Amino acid sequence: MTFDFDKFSRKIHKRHKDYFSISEVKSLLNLGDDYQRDTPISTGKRLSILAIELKGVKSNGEVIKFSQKIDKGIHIWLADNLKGKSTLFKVIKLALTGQNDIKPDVKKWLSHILVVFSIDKRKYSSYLDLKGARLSASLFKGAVGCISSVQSSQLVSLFSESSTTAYQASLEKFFFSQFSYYSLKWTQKKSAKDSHGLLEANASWRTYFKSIFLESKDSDKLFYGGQGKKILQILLGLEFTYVINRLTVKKEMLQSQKGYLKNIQGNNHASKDMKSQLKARIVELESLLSSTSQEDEGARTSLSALYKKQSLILDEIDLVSQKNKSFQESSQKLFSIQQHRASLEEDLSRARKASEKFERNIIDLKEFLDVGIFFSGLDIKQCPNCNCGISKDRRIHQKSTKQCLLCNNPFDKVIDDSKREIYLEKIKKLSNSKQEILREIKRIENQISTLDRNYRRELNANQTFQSQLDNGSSLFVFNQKLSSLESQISKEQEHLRLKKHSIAERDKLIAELAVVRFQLAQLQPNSDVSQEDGKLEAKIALLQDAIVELNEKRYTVSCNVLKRLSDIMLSEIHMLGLNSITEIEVSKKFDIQYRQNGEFISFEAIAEGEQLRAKIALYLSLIQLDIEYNFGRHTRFLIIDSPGKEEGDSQYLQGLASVLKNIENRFGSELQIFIGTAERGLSDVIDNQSIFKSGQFLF
Amino acid sequence: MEDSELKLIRVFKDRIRIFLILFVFGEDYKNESEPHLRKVFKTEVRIQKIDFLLRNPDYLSYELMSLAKNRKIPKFEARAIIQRIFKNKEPMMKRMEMEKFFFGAYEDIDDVISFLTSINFIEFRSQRSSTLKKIDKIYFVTATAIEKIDDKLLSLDSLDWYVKRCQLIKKYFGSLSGTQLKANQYQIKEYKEALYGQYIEDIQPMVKAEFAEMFGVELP
Repeated sequence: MTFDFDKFSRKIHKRHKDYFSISEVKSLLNLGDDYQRDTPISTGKRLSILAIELKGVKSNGEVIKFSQKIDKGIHIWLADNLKGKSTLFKVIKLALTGQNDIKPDVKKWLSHILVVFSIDKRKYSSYLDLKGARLSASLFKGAVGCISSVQSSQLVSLFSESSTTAYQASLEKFFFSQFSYYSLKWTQKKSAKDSHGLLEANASWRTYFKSIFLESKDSDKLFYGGQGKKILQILLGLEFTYVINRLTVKKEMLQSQKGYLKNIQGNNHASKDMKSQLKARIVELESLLSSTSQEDEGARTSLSALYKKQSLILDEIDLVSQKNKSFQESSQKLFSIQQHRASLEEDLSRARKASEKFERNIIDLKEFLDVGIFFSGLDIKQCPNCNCGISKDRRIHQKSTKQCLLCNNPFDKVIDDSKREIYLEKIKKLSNSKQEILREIKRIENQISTLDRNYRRELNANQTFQSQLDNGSSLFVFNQKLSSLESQISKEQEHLRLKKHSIAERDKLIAELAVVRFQLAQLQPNSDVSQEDGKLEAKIALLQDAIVELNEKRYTVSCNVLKRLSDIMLSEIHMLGLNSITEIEVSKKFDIQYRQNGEFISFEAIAEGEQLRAKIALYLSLIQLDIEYNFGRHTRFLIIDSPGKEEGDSQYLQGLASVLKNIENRFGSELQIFIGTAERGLSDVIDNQSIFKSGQFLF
Repeated sequence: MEDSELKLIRVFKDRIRIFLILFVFGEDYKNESEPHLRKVFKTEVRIQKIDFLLRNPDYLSYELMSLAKNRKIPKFEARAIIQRIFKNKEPMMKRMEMEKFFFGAYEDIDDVISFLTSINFIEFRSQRSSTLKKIDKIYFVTATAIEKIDDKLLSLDSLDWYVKRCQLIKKYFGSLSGTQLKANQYQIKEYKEALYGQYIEDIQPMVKAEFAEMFGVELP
């Protein structure tokens, strides 16, 4: 879309010609070519994580060697709470933004991180060396195979930095250029108590990353911090967003200047009583501020102590788990030795039986030879039937005819010399077989005795493990302690969260203190302030007019995009089981309003158990808007940490499961969504999942 | 070994064993009208029962233990014999199963007797008993047999065992008639409870257990 700056300037000039010439108007509104900087047409680029590798050593000495390749589409990590899911996601955040939010105890364990990612077809590797006191990190063009091959890798490094802030800045520049992001600005009060000026602040890549990484702790906010609308604007990339933002900042700076002058003028006539009142108020405010900051400090100290305790118990649990593991492994070894021994005993019994059989055959054959030879040498003298003697002639006849002298059947001597040789050979063979089997028996007996030695050794070790486990506290006790500690931590966190709510109050106190100090300063006799810029108010009015005009224009050209976004969001919300919301509207000011029970309400007014669904719906919708309608600039990469944590409604889980399935089916290869959850109900919903057993750590 | 071989071996085993029973257990016989007959042995039942002890070293061991238990022989004597029997693995090496018939262990020995008669080693007669109720079988060992069975033959390893075992059985049970021997054997549960036509079971485990209880040491 082309924008006619002259025409626009003339239109504004018409309404402000009493104060400004056309050139003055142009000069006030001029932002170069940036009027055409934004376009809602998608860059089509998408960010995908390809692999993650971690190295380090836990406090108990266990080596961390985590490495996982990840496909496009949805991937679920299903593990119990406090088992490393959030840490894994924070590692990705650290590699992509440079911001390290990993828990302090785990942070100490990690020495190297490698995250390989792609933006469209180009691959990049973010490599961080966390060993030293200062971060050393590089972004490589291409995919590094593994941490150990980084040094030898021939890949081109896009940048290498040796400090966290430098790496953050370089990553921001890189990702901003990749996804056509830029820093939307806003104004904020200077933090120094005695200062009443305004500062310009920029939305960073780390801020925008909040639209990628939906952390469970932020589930009650649609966007992180007060810059949510800016994130949404950047993600939508609607026309004029940049100029509206810059003109708004300009206007706010002028407003601040005007307020300053007014204060100076108005307070010139303050009385002496006023002076003492102001002084008393300063004392009061200072005391209030000091007590609230002490309370905050106290809560933080207590939380930090609890974290330390938690870390110690986790170490203990690690230790006991290790001992348990050793005990189980040793018991398993004992069992397998017993099994092996039983099978050897069977072999031994078989071999012994075979040996006995050979021995018996040898005895029988030897006996047969002796007895056979003896009886074969005897002549038949008498018929056993009739008791008549057998004549010598008949015996001679038997020899010559080889026919039995009693029954006339063929007759052969049972044992003669040649048969004897055959039987002797048989005896020899049987003896050899027996020797062989005896050697086998010896071999098995040796194996059994080796096994017995191993068994005794393993049994000693096993008994030692057992007594160590008996003497120490059980996993159950530690888990109980851990669970009670976690509930304390969560109470303290809640306490701090409430405290954060009171930060706004605190800021008010700080602001009031600054104002009161300023007023007191103005009561000093040397005040000599003159009106220095008559046109200030007029300038503010002109800028406001231009902003309103541009907002209208933006809304007119973008309402189709916003309508589509609302429609997709509504459909997603319904799929997630939130049928009570019947309409969604995105206003000109980018306020998202949800109609529930006939009333339009803001995200914050949605019941706590339903907020996360509304939030997930928004981000899924932004991605869908990009994929389906080619609008917006979301990276199409989303990390949702613990999506089931706050929502008590079982319909929600089913809804989430079916939304995930649906997204996977429709856009599986077009996006990447990581989900970390302890909800076992989400297992087997989608293909890519890493399931960790109860109590198991990710790394 | 093949079945035919095993059968042949068995025929010769039976021949020598039965002959040696008659030879060792036969009493000297002198009758001027029958000078060729030198020894006499009475009743087939006795052959069968002695043969059973010869073929089942575990039962022999048990009976020796019974004698020791009843103080008919010294315990140490029984202990030494039984230990030797088991050390030599005789219950496995020498065992030849026997079936049970109406009157205990029995195996048809008619063929063996016929053979021994044909080679003129024995003579065999049947006669009514004094009560005329049954027929007694009487076996005579001939002078021919005694001539042929010389010391050289008997000292062969394979025959030496039979001779010594027969002598041992004779020493402890030689005075018993066939009926008395049968009565003793019927004291053993496994023997008594064997069904008609069934092989009489091996009692090694029972002998080992009783031996351990009686002598406080395990048999090998």
